[in-house]
Amino acid sequence: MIPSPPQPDRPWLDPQAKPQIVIEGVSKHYGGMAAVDNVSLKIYKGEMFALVGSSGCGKTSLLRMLAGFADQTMGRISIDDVDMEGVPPHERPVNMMFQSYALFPHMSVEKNVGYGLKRMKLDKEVRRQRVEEALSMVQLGPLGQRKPHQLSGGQRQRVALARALIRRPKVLLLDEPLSALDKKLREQTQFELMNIQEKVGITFVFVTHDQEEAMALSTRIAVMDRGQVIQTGTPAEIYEFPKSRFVADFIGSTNVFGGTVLDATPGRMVVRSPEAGCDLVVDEIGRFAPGQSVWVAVRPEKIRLSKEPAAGDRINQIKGIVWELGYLGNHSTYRVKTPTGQLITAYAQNRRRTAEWAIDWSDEVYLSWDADSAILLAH
Amino acid sequence: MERYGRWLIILPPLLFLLVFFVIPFLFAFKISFADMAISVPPFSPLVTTTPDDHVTFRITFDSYSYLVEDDLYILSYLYSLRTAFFSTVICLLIGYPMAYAMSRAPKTTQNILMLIIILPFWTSFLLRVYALEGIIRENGLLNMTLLWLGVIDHPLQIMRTGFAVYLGIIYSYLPFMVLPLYATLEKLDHTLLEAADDLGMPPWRAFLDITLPLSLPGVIAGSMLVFIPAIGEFVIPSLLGGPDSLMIGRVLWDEFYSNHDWPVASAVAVVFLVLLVGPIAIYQYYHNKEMEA
Repeated sequence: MIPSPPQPDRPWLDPQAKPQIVIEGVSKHYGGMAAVDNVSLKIYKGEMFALVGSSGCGKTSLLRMLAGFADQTMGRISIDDVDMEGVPPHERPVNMMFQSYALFPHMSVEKNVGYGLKRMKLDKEVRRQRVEEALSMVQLGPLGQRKPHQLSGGQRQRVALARALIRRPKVLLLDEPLSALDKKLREQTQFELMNIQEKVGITFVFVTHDQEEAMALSTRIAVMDRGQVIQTGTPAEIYEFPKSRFVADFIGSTNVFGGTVLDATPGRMVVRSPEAGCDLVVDEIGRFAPGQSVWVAVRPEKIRLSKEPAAGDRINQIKGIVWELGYLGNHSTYRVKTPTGQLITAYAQNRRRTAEWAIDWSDEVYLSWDADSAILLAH
Repeated sequence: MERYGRWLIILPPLLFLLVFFVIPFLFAFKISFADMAISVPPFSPLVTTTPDDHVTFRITFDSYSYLVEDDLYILSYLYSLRTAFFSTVICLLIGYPMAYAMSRAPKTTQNILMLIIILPFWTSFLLRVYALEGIIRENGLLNMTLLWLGVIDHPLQIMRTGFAVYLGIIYSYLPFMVLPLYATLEKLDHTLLEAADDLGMPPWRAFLDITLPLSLPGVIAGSMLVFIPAIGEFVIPSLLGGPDSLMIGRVLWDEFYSNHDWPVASAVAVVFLVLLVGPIAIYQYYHNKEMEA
């Protein structure tokens, strides 16, 4: 029998659960500008929580306020019921892994990792043991005597991680933890980071501009824009049920058709879309009224491509010409031009080795999707 | 081709050093092995050729043994060493906080502060030392002010003391300490201090553990820039110091121009140079290490 995989727990669904980090109405102003604007979040113990957004959205400012490097202009941050107002970084139960890693260049790997223990009243032997443990956890055991400049980028990242974990903080803050690594290493490190988090069992809060990284690592994501949290949810919630066009565009890519609601029957809404050139049916139980202008959003992987029109009731079917084609190995990206002039992106899995020859440039194709694959977004 | 290119680049400084340092030094080196003579130039030739084509060499170590016999030279070497050492330490103690404050100031203020540090160089060094004399002499600005304020009832004797020499050297060389220190402190990555703070260290510990060791190259560069010229300083002890301020630069001057004893003066110079090579070598060592890192 196959053993059951570890079950994720979802404390945010439990109304009885007590959040570990409470961020309440926090704002940070620089001059007259609000870098963080009235943000409230609850983060639970053991979560891997991602703050995602483009640069300047306030995610790093929020992280720095959690670490204590900046004070909030308004609002309250508490960790395990202790208000963090006025608590300097060296007295907070959190540690940070810096984007640049901030390793001390004049100290060996061992000294870097052990630095956080220097002010703790610990036996020398205990201290040595903890450094050793931390180094072996990140698989850097034999490199203890090296200096940071003698390490590769990936090794430096591990040193930074070990150094930040050595004080056994309640919360680990990570600022763009994987951004300095190349793609291959990044994917590998993602899983290691998750394993380590599981092992130490503490809360990780990390900041990233890379939505893929956020999706792969996190239990929950908070999408930020211009200082505000736009949506909070699990990666699947954010991806499949974005609440706004901003989130739909930022997380993954999406095709959007503007239109007006014709029929608002719950479960089978009909949207007249001049952009799509036809009426679109969306399986949605939203609060939309006839006459309301909306967007219909469809993810590229949810669109079927075929040379023949689909049999049956032929809802959500648009004819077009293959305008651009990108062969990416595991799948191909098609950009199809519709008679209304819109370019629609669709992914096709290359299940067979010759799949890419089936539909070629300038071919006439039919695009179609199911009513429950699309989502309605308010204007 | 690439090798020729490299030589082409280092050739000009090499030639410069050869013409203005190595050759003059070899002259001095040669003269230090000669005898004093009443002639022009005032020393005996090392190699003489008699009319019957006999070549004779005459080399004497008298000048060097004279340096050891007369304790004037040893004492003035030691005095120079001590003066340069304490001047350097005091410059470091004053210069480090200055450089640190500069590196922490807002960027625009930093440029203004930098200008203020460099500003004295727009006036001749000699003029500045004379100006200092104007301040500290018996009826100078300082004494007049203190007398007027009633702090003292008779003028302080500052001129012609060791204190005046220290004052002059520290005042003149402080910028040489501040500038390299500022350069290293300014490029110090501030997130390192945040990391130390994050890892439980209060700011004073972070300073000792992070800032200080990482600014060591600046400390060494600044110290060398003060120590090396200070040890050979001639103008300041002559203008501000008393008869007991016997720094080696003054002794050298006296041997050349008052005693016309070129061989002894050359020997003083040669020994002096050898004593200086030590600190320079240390400086180079740390400098190279910093370059590697």
